[in-house]
Amino acid sequence: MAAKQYKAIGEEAWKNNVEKVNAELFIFTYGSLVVQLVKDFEDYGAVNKQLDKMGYNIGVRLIDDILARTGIDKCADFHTTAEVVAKVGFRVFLNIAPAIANWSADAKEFSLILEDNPLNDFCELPPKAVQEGLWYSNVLCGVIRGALEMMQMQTEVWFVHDVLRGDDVSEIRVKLVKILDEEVPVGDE
Amino acid sequence: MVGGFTKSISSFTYRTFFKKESTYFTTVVASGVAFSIAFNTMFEKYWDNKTAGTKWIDIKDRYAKDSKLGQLSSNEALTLAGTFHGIHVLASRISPATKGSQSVKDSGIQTIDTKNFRIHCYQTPTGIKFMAATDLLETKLSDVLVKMYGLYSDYALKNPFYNLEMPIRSEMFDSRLVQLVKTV
Repeated sequence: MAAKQYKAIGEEAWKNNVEKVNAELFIFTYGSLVVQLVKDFEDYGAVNKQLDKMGYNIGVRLIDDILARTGIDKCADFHTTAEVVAKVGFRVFLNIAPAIANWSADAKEFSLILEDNPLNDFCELPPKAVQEGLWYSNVLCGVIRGALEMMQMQTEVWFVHDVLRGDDVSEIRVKLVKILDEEVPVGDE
Repeated sequence: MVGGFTKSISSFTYRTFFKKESTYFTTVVASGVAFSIAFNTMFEKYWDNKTAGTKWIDIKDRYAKDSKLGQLSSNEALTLAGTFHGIHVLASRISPATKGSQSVKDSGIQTIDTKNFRIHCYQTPTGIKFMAATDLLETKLSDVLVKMYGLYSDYALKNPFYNLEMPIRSEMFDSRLVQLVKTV
């Protein structure tokens, strides 16, 4: 029931409230960004880190965008959060809706399965990049991390599989570290 | 004939205005004053025509409403925000509302009423608060504040040079905000 509702919200927002940009322009921009990073850092690990950092900075801003557009309220639990990330977040910004799978027993970790990742279009990684562990779309991890952190959830997000590295699907793993409590002003009792 | 007429006029002028020192002096002063008044009036007319539509008196109506909003300086705004945040949090902690046996965590203060006006507050899930002061007739302002949230996300957050949690100094944001407020 709830899942359906979020799906509807996502569809609705995608249809009515979003200004679209040309997908190819977007993909190429991202592609040239990654390539430039690879040239600048000459180390794929550092590139991953940098992409994550960029994503984080995007995420902390995007979260307000999506909340303002859709009027979603606070999620009751982490399951709902997962639903919203997949059905609303990815839908509104990338027009995809990854599946949620592989919940851990304590319900603190889940995976987002991306069957189709628009960032990957037209991209083939050179063997060296695969060997040294470049996660091409690592920016997504940062975005999720940044967005959830603004909602008082500290998370770790990382890629497990990527189609570009020869896996069947792309999989992003999201792990809830802890819920940050809102800071209370100290004193005056 | 004409020459005689001119002559009689000039001699009349001479006799009445210039012959005696006292009338001469009065004439000079009076004509000086008259000229300066005439010059000022004419120049003002010319200036009014030239700058029509751009002077304060012409655009006052556009801003009169804003000045009624009681603009706060940045410092006052920060103080207000700081103080309000404190009582907001406090209010959400002392909520006596319960659901079953569990106490419900409250979302904090939404309006504050005084005798003459009302302060509205809308808090986003990320903890940003939008506040507005209105008269008492305005009961439900949250939809406007939600629109403000949209503006904030569009014109503040999407500006790459805007730093989070800093005062927003953006002309676009300000002008849109004024637009929005005017529609209320």
